[in-house]
Amino acid sequence: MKFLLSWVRDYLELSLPAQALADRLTLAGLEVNSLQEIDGDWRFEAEVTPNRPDLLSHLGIARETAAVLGRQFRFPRWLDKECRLPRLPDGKSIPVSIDDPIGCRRYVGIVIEGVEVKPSPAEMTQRLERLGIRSINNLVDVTNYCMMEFGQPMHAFDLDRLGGGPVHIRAARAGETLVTLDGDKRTLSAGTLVIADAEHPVALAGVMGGKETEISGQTRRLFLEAAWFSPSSVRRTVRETKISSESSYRFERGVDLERTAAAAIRAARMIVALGGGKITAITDAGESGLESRAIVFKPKKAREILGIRATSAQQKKFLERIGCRVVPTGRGLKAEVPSWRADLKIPEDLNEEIARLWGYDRCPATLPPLPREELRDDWTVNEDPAFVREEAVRAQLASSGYQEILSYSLVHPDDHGKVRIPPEQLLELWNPLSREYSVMRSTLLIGALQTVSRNLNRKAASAFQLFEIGSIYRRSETQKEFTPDQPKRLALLVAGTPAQAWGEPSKPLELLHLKGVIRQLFSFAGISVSESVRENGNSYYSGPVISFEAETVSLGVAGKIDPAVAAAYEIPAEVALYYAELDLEKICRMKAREHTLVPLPKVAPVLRDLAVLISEDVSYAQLMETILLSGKPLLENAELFDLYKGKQVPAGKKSAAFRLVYSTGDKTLTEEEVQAAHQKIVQALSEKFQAVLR
Amino acid sequence: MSQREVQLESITAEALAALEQAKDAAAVEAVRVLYLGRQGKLTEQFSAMKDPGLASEEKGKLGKQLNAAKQRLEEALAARRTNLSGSAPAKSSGIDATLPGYPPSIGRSHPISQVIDRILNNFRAQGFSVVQGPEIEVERNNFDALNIPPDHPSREGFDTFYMADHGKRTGYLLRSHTSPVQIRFMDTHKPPLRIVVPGRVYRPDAVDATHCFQFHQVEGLAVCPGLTFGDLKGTLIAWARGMFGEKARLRFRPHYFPFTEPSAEADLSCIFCDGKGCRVCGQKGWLEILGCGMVHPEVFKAVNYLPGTTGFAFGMGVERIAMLLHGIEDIRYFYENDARFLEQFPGGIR
Repeated sequence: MKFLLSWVRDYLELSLPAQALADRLTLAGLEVNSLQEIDGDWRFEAEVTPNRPDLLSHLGIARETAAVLGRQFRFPRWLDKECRLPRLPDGKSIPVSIDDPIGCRRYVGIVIEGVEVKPSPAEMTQRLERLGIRSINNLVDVTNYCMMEFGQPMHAFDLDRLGGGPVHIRAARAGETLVTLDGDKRTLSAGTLVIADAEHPVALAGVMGGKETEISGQTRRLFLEAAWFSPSSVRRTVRETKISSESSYRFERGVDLERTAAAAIRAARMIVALGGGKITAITDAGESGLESRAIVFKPKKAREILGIRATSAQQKKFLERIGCRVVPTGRGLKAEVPSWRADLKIPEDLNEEIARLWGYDRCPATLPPLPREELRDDWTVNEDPAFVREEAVRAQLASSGYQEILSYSLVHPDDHGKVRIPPEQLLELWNPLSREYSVMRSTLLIGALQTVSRNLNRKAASAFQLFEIGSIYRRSETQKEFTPDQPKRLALLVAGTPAQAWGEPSKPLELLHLKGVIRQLFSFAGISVSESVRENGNSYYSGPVISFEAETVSLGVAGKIDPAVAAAYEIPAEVALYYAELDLEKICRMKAREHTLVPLPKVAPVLRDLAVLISEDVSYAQLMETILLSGKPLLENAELFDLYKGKQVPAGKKSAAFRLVYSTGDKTLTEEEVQAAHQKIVQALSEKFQAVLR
Repeated sequence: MSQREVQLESITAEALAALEQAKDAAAVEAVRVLYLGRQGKLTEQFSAMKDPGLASEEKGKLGKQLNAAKQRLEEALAARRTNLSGSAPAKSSGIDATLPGYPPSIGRSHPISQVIDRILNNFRAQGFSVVQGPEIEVERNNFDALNIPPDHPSREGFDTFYMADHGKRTGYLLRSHTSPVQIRFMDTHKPPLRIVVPGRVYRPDAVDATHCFQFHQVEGLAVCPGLTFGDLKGTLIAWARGMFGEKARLRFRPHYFPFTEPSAEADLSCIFCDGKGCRVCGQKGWLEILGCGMVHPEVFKAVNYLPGTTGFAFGMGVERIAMLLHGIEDIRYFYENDARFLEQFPGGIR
């Protein structure tokens, strides 16, 4: 809402400098966003909250300013005179029929005959233009001027172009058309509130007039309309026609039903003053006023909740300043709310009025006491344990060298196809912004691939160790009715070869990096997880995947992304991508087992290295199983520390080196004992896998 | 002072002066050899200890003095070496300590996660517990129970995303704020309670430098008999000081939200100019940072709490705070995941 200081001064004596006034209004809830000096006048631009349509006029601003400055506002006498109906020569009236009394609760029509259409006086033009309203002619300008004065939108029709008979305020019939002032021919849908003559709609009620009945240079007889249209009917028209105007803006928020006639008469008198002619007829249909509304409230309550010491008398005064009539009743006060403050309904609403006139800054800041709470049997801390674990997972992955990313939950319909996810379970938006963001992601892979692609493209990175924590969304398979399913997932991705960097050998990232960090995470989460290698089925992976399972529940899989899938995101084939998507919710809901200490050995263990040549086909798991089994009972642990295929090893073979830990815990092992155990392992390996010592 | 002591003093002083003059590592080494080498001037003084004429008492005293002098000189040598190593060319032998350290493999949480973390921790310190709720919500939790009337504009397609079922609009929507979690929590818990809720929210805003259809909020709710507007102010001021430093101030302005009454918007004293006025705060000295208020009685009614229940609630946009804290001018950076952007936020000690 833009307003001029000079204009506010028409209704209220005011000596406060503009900046000081802006600050006072801002702190009282009318936030002044900008202040601009124009030839000695000041233009304010303020944000009016949706509950305060009464501030969408200069009179309203004057009223509010008085209250904020601690003064009682009085409606100016000179203006009051301008709002009184002059005596009509023969008391004619024009028939008005309100066919929709809910959409239109009051309708005032005034006929002025013999007007002359001409430019407005400079002072009026200047005020309107400073507020960004284009001056058109004296008649139209007056309707705008009075709207800016009272907050009451008005419309002027050329009476000679209106078909005869009563003016109807009614719902449009399906298929009716109207050419609006902007020149567009609009086909109306049934129910849109319109003003109509005997046959046709002539205006969209509260939104825009029609071209046919527009004021022109030839207009001599004028029909001026001021009405109260309901916010929901105007909102509906705005939504359907996509037109919004200064008029609809005010109706959507609510105008003052008790000032409709006053504003109309003021405008009519102004038109006569500027364009000549005579007021010849007036009709005021519908309700003429509101039932008085009163709120009973307790000043003591307000003191308690606001923590202030405002006395009953002070509180009464505050409420009077905003236009309430306040009388004592029983143990409290009864405040009769003015017609323009439809937002005041309950005592809490009055608390806010008292607080803002007292000053929010003057309400003391206190710290709430710790609530005393009965310790019930079912009492648990409120903190969501899954969230705490999620935070720990994030911190752990970050300290393992992984970068967290966040990507969009909304994706393009083609994205799921690119990653080979069938469309059956996908969730679509009913009102997407664009196709690009119209489907809910059902995997975190899309965002991860987009991230890799974007960074490669921008040459921002060549290697990736990424993770994302976020929900995926899909239709529930188990529910018959449409039900969304939105589990939280953890995605991990490694790809590329880190550029040769200081202190770090350059080595391509591969599946085992991914598996390593996942294993570390499970151990960190304190859960035992088993794994199996299986075929990937029909998915975005190529080759076998590692499947992780805990307590017979699948936690997700890890594997190599099919280069064809990566290619759909313009990731070149030489960048191998490894990806895992884990069920974070399950991981976070699983109970970590409490660790029981394994007693430290009293005697230092004996370490031995073992390097063997074996066939390529023998898996690590097979080797380990044999080593651990044959090494019993002295072998405590075995760790792989090197695996080599290449020049120094015959074709079809590989060399594996293990570090073996022999210990009994409390007894020193003799050389012979260790040697015997070691020999047993070597023998077992050689028998089983034809292993040869290196 | 014995003659020996005087001599010792003067050797030490001479050595320190020479060290002062040493301009590079080689010169420092020469000073070391001259005084502490095998035949160094100070080393030679130790031979006096072998003097048979020395009483054991004196011997002890001299020993202490000699060791003290030696230690002093060694420390001075070390200090001078460190001092010079910043500018000295590397020597071919030994370690060039001016080389960059080997960086451990580093990862980071996303800057949005980091800011959420900071916000939450400063509320946790005041006894708030963190809870979460789903992003796909129903109208009752997102609107009805929050006293947002059925024909309120925020329910329209311009302001809220709805889910489709075979092209038809369903009763499910993408939550437009984190406030529905207040409702979910109160549905299942009795007061007293204090919760904070981080989460992702959605509004149909076309993407540009300052708008995005998805962003994050942190919501807070405290319900307890006797809570006041002053408690709301105090809680948020204490939070702001923890979050932005001791000098941070909050200014409360009346505002409007359907689910609180009285309602307020809080401005933070500009963290760049301390409220003096700068480009970031538009010369106002204040930055709009959160909305808050006393919970509206209709909200308590919707969750079947007793009439007269008191509580306060607040909510803030995480992206906005992150942008202010780090001087980020384009919201799209958060979701592009450009490594050069993410790498600038190592997280760390706060």
